[in-house]
Amino acid sequence: MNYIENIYICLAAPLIVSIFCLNTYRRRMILLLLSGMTMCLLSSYISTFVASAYGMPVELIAIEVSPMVEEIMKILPVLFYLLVFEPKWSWVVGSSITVSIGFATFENVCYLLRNDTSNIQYLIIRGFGTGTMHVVTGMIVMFGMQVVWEKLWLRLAGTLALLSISVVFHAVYNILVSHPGVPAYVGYFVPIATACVTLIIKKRADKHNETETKPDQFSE
Amino acid sequence: MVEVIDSIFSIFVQGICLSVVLVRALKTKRREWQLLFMFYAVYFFSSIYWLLYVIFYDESPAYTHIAEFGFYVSYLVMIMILQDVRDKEMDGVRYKRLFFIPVFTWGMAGYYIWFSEGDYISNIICAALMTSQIWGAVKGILYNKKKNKNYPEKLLYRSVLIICTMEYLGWTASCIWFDVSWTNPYYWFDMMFSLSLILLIPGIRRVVEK
Repeated sequence: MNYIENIYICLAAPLIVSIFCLNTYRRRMILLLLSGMTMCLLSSYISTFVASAYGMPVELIAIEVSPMVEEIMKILPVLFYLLVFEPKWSWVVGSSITVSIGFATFENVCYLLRNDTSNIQYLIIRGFGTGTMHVVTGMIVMFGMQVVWEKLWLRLAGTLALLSISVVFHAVYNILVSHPGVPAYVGYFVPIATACVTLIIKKRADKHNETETKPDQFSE
Repeated sequence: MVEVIDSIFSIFVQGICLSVVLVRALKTKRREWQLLFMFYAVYFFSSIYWLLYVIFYDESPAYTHIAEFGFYVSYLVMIMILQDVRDKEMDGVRYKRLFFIPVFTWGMAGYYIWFSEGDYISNIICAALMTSQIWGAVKGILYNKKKNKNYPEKLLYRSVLIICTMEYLGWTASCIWFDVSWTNPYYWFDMMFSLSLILLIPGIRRVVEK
């Protein structure tokens, strides 16, 4: 049995200490990383509760409950950050991805402690697959937010749309990887391919926007 | 097999539309294209999820409604598009004829609820979203018809109405015919629905070129 609260405390402790030692930008990034890990812990509780309330088979939890719960939980810190702190866009850009990284890291640690860690080949595939999937859903939210956040009436529907895309993307990934063999390998490949395509598109878009202001995220 | 072919056809059409709109959105950076991209993206991924679930589990998703959530959100994005392209002077105008729309949509929702003996929430959400979509499109047509017969939003409004009509025909057919074969009109309406989604691209293009 895994005591994920204990794992969480152990992983979060150095991050909490580091918050007091860093400058504003890095402190926010660590807080977002920590919030991603916290959301992963809470998602685990909520998914388990929902599954037991519905009396669902274990196999279906990852396909029907987890994507919805996890993506909603992941978007909450980003929304909180945007609405409460109203940061510059150059600061926002990495926030969603940072939350996703925290989430994926904690999920991977829990997975490693629960399962056999001897097969490095499988762990590399799984690590890159699941980790990238969380980062890709974070990227979807991040890029989309820049479009929908400019007008108030767009925000609610736009955020729901982004959430929906990330939920369904996550669910498709989970369906594929839960079936061993070719579907699983296709599933592991999809997030990496999506991330590559997204980055290529972003680089091209950035080239067109070279005249715009450069990000100042590392300035004090 | 029929269901799978129908789903693959839908995904194929939506995938092409998604690619075309992605290129347009990146090139023009117009919000109309970006919103349409969101619409197709939500629909595309929801359809893929539905298809994979049907292939792997041989049934529709039973416990939560991830795909339905996606479809509803895509309707919401469509409402946003209609809201975005509307003539701002249209807001204060009232048409009594528009009240036939909720009568129809909520009447149909009542029929579906009666037929399915439950499923209240999804039918109510659908009715609300469909009412807003059809309301926005019909109001746009009524308002612009008086001003200019060749207004740029014409094709977009008509496309939305065609899409909604196909959706309702499909839903109604699924209440009457149950067999999983090509004789069931539901599959034909569903494929026509997928094809009608293409109309949104020239519809938005005309609005953007305005």
